[in-house]
Amino acid sequence: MVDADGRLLTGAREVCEMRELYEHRPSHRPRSAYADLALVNGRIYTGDPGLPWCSALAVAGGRIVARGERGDIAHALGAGTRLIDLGGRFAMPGLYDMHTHPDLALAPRYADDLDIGIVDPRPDEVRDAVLAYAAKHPDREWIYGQYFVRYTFRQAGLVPGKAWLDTVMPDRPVALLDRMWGTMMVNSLALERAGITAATPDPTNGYLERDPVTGEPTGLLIDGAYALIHAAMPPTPVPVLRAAYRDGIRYQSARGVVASKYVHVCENRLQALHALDTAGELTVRIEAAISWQDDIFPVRRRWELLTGERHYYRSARLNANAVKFHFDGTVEPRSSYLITPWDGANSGWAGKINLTPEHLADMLWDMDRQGIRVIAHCTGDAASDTFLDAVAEARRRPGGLGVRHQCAHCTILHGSNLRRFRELGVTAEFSPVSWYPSRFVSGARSGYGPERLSRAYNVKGVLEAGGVAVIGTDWPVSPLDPWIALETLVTRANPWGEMEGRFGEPISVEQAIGVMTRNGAWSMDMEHRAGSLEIGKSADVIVLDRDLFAIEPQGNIHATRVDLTFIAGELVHDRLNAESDAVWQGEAPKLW
Amino acid sequence: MAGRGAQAVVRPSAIPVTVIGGFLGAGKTTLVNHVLQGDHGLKIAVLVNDFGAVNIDAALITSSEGGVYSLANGCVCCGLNQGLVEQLEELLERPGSFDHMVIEASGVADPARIMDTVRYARFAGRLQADAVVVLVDLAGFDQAMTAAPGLAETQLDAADLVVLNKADLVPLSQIEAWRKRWQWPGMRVITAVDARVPFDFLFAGQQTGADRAHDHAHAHEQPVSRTWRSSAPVDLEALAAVLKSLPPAVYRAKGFVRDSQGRQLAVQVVGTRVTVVPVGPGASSVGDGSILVLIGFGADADFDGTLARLDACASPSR
Repeated sequence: MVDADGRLLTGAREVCEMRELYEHRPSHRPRSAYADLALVNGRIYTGDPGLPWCSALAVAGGRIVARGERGDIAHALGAGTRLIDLGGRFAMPGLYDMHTHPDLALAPRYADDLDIGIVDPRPDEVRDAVLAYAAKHPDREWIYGQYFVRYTFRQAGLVPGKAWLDTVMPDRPVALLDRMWGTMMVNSLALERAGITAATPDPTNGYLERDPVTGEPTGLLIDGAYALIHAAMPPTPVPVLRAAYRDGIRYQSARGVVASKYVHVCENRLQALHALDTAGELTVRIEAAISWQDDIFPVRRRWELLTGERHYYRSARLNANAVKFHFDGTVEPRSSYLITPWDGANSGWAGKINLTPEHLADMLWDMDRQGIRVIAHCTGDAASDTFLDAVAEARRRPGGLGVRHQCAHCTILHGSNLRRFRELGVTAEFSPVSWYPSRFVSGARSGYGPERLSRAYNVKGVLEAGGVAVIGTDWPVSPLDPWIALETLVTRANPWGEMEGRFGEPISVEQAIGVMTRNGAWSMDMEHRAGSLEIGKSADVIVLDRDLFAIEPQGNIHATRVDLTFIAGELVHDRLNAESDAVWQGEAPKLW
Repeated sequence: MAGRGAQAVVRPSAIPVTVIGGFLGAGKTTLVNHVLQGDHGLKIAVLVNDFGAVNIDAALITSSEGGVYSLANGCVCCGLNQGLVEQLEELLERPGSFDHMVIEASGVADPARIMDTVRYARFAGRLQADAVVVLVDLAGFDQAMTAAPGLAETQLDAADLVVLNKADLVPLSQIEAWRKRWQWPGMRVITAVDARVPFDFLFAGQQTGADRAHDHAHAHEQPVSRTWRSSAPVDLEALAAVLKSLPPAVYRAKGFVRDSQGRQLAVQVVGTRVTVVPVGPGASSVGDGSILVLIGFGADADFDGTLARLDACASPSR
């Protein structure tokens, strides 16, 4: 079944059938006494303290049925067993990325929006492009895209805005972003569809440009104001989202991820994931968290989804039993909600929260009763403190199911809260891919001040207090590559040596692997079924090009290549063999 | 008049903000020093990127606290090393209000983005976008266009007033060539030496000293200032039409008008930027009528036409 280099041979019919594995098998259906798959001659780290290392695994029906040395699995090997010789390579449980957004990064690639494609388009070129796009896309209600430059309008003695755009396209809504994405120009119909009038108040993070006398919007919307237009536009189409998720999943499988939480979804996003699932291309287990607020994109039919329609999408690989919301802001605009005021501010400004604590407490309890996980964006210590209070309140009220809620990012935690993660059964999620030392991070995070920064990203503190810490790559905020996270957890240093210095306390390689495997499984309520290589658990195995315990972590772990990825015994990624029958072959695609 | 939306909360007691932009080496810091040392009689807060480049005369400094220097002429100056929003919040909380704020944009920044921030709702009623002044190094503009074409265009685009600086270092033909290549319809451009821009252009809306910096500025012509007064109520729609189509000779307009409903409004025009906001209670009053001061360069005819059009907005028969 393998060639001399240990590569898989193609054409193994039984492997094709394994793609149907996550279709249900009645418990009384007869099973073969023999394994479907066996991995031998490996250096396999199991993540199980009872037997941390073995060299052979046997898999039947997607689960591990035997492990140990070759002799320990011999009884399970039959004529139909696919035998893979790892040739001494290192293997371990697959990784868990517990917070990411591949759709946000990739959907624009497939949207086929208007792209004028000229460096400094003149107004007549913008006009021609809008007309050509409109003619080519007669079925698209909105004409949306980029970009115009105000400069060329002024040069031509024209004023950009609805008056000009109405002369170009009066009967279909048009929205064009400028080169810097700081301004959107729309026509009158777009304003009408969005319900924007002189009486529309400015949002906090932008404004509508207005006629100085009448207050009428001119059709130029600055910064956050153009979210008002986005809210009126049709949602991103399912085929676009499907293509985006497919790329993300293909990348994740190639980087050894076997389970992930896609945070912020809507009905179209769930349909896209569902389509991949039925096509056999959902090679990562996905927990999709429905957006609680409309701040990323509007979620139509949110309440129908939450009250039951989410079940429609459920499979072995997909669930939507979670919600995500933004509780506070971020460090750059100093909107993280902090227990003590921001450094350097005379005002006592300590940030803000986006929901009232009462709203949060009621929501948490309500979701908890339905078995829905709440994932809360909390960058400031006061935000996570308030979130933990709300979980405590939900635990006191009757009817709760004790769902493992998730505190996302955990950038700054109060020392007294470390133990509460364990006490309340809350997952502490960190985003280490976005906080290894770099010029950007040092600049951005300096706003927290030296005292707070010294206790930032306290993964070690949570673990020592008995809590469960997990990681999320948070792409596109930071790269989708989980190996950068693993190295950063261990070194707290810049993987490429571009910058000296460290933030906070590192943890060991063994601890970091636990965070990214077993703890992830716990945070998805799967720790009894997955997350380590134990008998009875799902065969989620990755085979690497290096032994994580035998290399110098800094500068090396992030460059790890994943040769093979199995999920529930199904080969989903084969890096070395382009002829393989794995779902995906070859190197991870370049996504950024 | 139609509803004024969220802008109705803007009061003229808000502090006007001037953003100074321009490519590296265009003379932004020189202009900032000009303001800091100037005899303009205004209390001005200046925010700069490169604090070290500002040449504050130590003898002028009356106090320094938390990186903010107070000067004898009423100015304060601080480095823009924190976030812009926070720095503005801090300055707004300092005891004693300012007459004006000046923000120096970084040489590689889009000054429009800074002015956008000033116009955010969180500063409504406290800050008022006055003008984006962009300096152009006449001697080095072609080089800047080559180095960063999009950026130089973006900076020009943001400008309510363009200052062609270092006019003494280039032949007149080069200035004309620049105007021919880059000046678009309606663009207000002045030439300057050593970034000496008349304070009337920088700080419209304030009672500046009588252009004390004039003698160093603008070698070719002197600014013209004409005042329009009326006791009749003004038709705002008609006024807006006039203000949006001022002749290129008019660089600035400022003043107060009273409309047919008896409301008093403050008017500011810089280049093509027009701002009209209701005067809130407690703001300085100019009596019952309307008064607008027009400032610019040009022949009397340029101004006479505008004054006549303004008269037509304030016909007693309206």
